Amino acid sequence: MKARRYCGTLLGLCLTSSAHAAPWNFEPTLDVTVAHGERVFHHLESAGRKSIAALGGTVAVVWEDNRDGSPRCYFANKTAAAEKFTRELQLSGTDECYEPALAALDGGRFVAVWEEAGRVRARVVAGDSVGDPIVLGEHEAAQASVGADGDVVYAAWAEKDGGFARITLARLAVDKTKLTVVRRAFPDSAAAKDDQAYPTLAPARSGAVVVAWEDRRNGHTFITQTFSSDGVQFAPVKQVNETRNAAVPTTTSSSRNLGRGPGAMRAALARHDDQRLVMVWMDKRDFLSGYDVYAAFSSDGGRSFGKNQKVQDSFGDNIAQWHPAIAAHGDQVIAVWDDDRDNTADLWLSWPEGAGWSDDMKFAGASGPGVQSHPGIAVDELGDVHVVWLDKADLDGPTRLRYARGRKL
Amino acid sequence: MRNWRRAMALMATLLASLSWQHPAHAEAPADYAFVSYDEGLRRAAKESKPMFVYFGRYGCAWCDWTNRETFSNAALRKLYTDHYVLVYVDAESGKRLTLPNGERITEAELGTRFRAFATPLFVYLDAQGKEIFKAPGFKTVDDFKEFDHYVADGHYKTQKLMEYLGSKK
Repeated sequence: MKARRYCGTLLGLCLTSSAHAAPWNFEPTLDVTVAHGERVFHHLESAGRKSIAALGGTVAVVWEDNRDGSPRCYFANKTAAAEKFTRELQLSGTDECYEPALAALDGGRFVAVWEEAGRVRARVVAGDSVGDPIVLGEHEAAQASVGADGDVVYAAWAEKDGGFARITLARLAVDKTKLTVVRRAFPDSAAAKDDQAYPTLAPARSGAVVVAWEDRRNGHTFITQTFSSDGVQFAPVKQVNETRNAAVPTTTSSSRNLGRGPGAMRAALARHDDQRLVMVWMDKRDFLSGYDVYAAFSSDGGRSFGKNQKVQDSFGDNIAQWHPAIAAHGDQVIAVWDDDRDNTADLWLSWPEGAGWSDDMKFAGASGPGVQSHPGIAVDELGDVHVVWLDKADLDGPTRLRYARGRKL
Repeated sequence: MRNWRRAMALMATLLASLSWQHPAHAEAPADYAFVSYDEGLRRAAKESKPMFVYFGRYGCAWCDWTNRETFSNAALRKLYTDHYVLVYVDAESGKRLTLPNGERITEAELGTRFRAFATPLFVYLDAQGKEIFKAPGFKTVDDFKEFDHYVADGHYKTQKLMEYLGSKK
């Protein structure tokens, strides 16, 4: 990491040097959809930042945009050999749609979840067919995420339960393109004491599942997680982000009860294999420089997560990081986020290296003039990286949806 | 006296615990007529008033401190209620807003655009939604009164904030 600390006067040479160390070679970027233009705004904002998935030689993307004047959710895919995204369809119906998320299934199929008309819905998209959408929850719900490992598919979302939003999990069964809810459960069996939000999850082929979310029960937002071997019985919840109280003013006796903890938000979870998982989130423990990207690993199947690690390198320490996402497959792990340390909002990548994380790397097409932000990321079984993000010429301008593949070296 | 203080502390604890039953987003100071950012933009344009935007965060220590020590001041509450369209934004919230250009974003995204990485952050906007200045961190009643003079009297049109504050000494 730390070579870049000494790069102050070498400027571009150091970036080149860093890029050479990257385990991926990024190809030219592509548009995901031709639907863009004046007053068209795309969004990649699913819980867990699961906007892209890749498996079996196909990559797919889900997003929301307002091309017809209302927010709708869309799906597009391409095969590895195709030079552009070849298939695009509308996932949602006639109501407003938000925050679609995606997971890859066997056989070139994908399962998507989204919020529409205040309910969370799901459907399967296969090679040339699409399953009927189903409603997953019973009450007002939002912030859906989905994960799959082989035939094991789980979805999670935040659903109104009394006065609070509560994370709800569903095991889904897939028969070709038909989707059914096997069972629903609350990962936290205790009644919600405050809002729970933005879940992320990682199923395993055994039927186990790890779920994490934002939780406000302690009077501030922290990241909590639980494990289940069957999606029915869940371990007691555990806090993932480490907290300290240094941000609390203590100069007068009347101020001692101020502030209940730092903020942490928008966790994203990925599974390497049966036993190893990795989670990233935005963490405000260093409150003067804004959110940092922190990570924690699990080596016991998600029953627990270890010591927190700061992901971005020291060049990003005084800059706020936004929208972290994570992908993993086997020994391949890669995190992505956006920050404007170089005076433009760029995507940055980092991966585990030694005892910590690599130098941060940006790549052509996702950096430089304009705004590049809100990334999603996936790693396929070959170790290739797939990144999708929003691109716009200026902060208030219309967006384009861009994609790039990083070939494993 | 000690019993009175204890009773007040108990009352404060009770009120705080009751307020957690309605968390919704983050904690805005009491008795201020805060509206959402998009509603604030509409009202500011309609009423030709500047906007005062408070970016907070659930559990934010310095927001709590500012609410207790500064925004509890009745004169300040009247001053800001009279002079501004008041907007509160939870910088961690997924609450949706629609901007004048038609773009739909969340309150957390609005925080990204205003670089609200440290809360509280106070942003003054003119009636057209153009940023006048930002003031991060805890501020006193006097600070906010100075800021009000700077905005409401139109000094921002000819002077930077630091120039204005320096000229007052």
